Amino acid sequence: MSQVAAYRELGEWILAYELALLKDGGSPVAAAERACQRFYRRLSPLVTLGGSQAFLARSLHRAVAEFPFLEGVQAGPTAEECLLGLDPALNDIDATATTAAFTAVLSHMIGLLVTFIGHELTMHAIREVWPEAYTSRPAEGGLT
Amino acid sequence: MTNADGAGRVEIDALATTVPGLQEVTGGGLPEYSFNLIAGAPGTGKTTLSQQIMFDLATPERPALHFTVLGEPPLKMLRYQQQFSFFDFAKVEDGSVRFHSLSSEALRGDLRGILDVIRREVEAAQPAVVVVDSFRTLVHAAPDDDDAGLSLSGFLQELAVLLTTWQATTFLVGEYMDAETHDSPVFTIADGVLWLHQSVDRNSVVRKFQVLKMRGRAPLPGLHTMRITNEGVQIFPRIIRRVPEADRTRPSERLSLGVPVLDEMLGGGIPAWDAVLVAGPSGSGKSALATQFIAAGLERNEPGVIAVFEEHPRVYLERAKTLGHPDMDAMIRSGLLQMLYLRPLDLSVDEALLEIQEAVTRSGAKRVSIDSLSGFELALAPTFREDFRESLYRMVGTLTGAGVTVFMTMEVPQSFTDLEFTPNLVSFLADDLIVQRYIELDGQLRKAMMVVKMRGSGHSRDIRLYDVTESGLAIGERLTGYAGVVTGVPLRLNVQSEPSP
Repeated sequence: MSQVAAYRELGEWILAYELALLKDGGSPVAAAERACQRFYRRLSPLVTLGGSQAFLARSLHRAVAEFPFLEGVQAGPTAEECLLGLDPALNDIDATATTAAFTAVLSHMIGLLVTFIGHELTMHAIREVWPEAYTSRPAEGGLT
Repeated sequence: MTNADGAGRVEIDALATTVPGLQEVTGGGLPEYSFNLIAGAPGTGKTTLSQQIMFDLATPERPALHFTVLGEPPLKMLRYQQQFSFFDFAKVEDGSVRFHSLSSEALRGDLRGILDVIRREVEAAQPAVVVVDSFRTLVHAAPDDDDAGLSLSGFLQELAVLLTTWQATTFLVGEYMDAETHDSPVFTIADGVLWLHQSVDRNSVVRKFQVLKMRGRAPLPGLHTMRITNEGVQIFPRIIRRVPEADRTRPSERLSLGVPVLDEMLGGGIPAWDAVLVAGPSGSGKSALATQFIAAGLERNEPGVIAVFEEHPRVYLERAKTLGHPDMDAMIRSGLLQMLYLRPLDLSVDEALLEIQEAVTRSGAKRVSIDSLSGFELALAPTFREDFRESLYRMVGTLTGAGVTVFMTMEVPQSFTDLEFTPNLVSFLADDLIVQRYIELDGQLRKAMMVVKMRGSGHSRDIRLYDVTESGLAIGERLTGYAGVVTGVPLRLNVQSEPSP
């Protein structure tokens, strides 16, 4: 499995996990918000809130190429307000597309982290937040 | 109550770091629960040293907390520091090493807030080690008098008390220049100040380490050479502990040079634990003699060390074969002979000494050959060449003090008009001095050898012709019938004498 596919799978797992925790009435957007909030809280001691915001902004920017409807979504300054502009941007988008889009966002976050601190420490940080997270090591291959 | 013999005094344990040389230069190790400053200009290795210590000491039960203030955030630190071999992923994963950013508080200039965060984390983790990096940026970020009225001195005082009370050993990491030691309260409050220097001399850059202050310890004074490699920081103590003279019982044994006639000229060989210097012009056979000295020991199953600074060891061993010593390769493989090839152009004497000492310890060698001092001097960074004589004196003293007989060679330019034994006055550090030189004799360029000095023992006054042959140095009879041999251009006297060989 390539690195990109592996991180995409991990992003998918995280989103599904958060969605399951929401139980009734949970939506992919709400699950994505929860996942991003957890990322912010874990990353802030390492890169500050501003750094977490920059990480999410970069990930959103990358995902827009694949999911243009994310264009209006922005990274917020705090964990509580980590995703801004969701309402107008995603009003007409179905759940499947939303899930795919935020899976991409999360996988880009993971990929960026790996680029900076390597697979080992990234997986450690993710497992601190989601202890049961998918843990197989991706095969060699560059992230794009 | 404390007894006169010291019983009842608190024992200060030393931190068991594996930073090579740190134990020695701090006078026994960093004291546990001490409050230290690692200072120096940018790029001197402060962060690397602090992280090396941190990874060494952190355990799941007593973790290390690393706080970054401004500058390098933990994420970048993790990225770069994991390149070093001391970076232990397992210690990050099991929580032994934990990183926190204090930059939000620092940007607000909130010293009280910073102290609160540190207190909260320390109380939760009960760490063995706390690192605050870079402390200097905190000083800059802090207003003169913040909202809570906490001054920098007050902050430092509270921080020191907090961390000491929680039995944490602390390292503040800060960028300071030499002139700043008088102005900052941190130098007063700190128990230990480790200063890292980086000096530029022509195109050479040399790292140095200094223990400016270490309460409760007697650190080694001076500037010690420091190197940063993939393994992290390594310190080369400037002064190696020597065996006190009074404790030494000098053996009466003499060591053969492997050239019987020369042994005879030396009064029976080189006195054990002596330092011998052979000086002569290029091609006079100094290295051949050094090889024979080591080979003579090997033949008696005595381990030896050869430190070469000019030729590659392979060339050196090839030449040894032409001198009747074909087995040196096998001796190296068996560990009986250690061959060190030391020729970086930014070497320090202390690094060379450490390598030689380690080789001596590994092999139990009693014979060390340093071939040559000229090449050694050339391999040194320019800044160390200035202290070459003093450094060499310490090096030779350390080796002979440990019961090693040292054989050194030195190339000297030959003048055919002046009598110059050795340049730079290095001969003062040798107990025994052998001089080789070319002479013009009966229309031929010949080689002559003499024992000029032997400290504390008699020796031959002869000047003898010699040749370097397939079985090593072949020394002939005393050269008689000539005057002015030492000038290189002897005059034949009326008395007939046929030189040999």
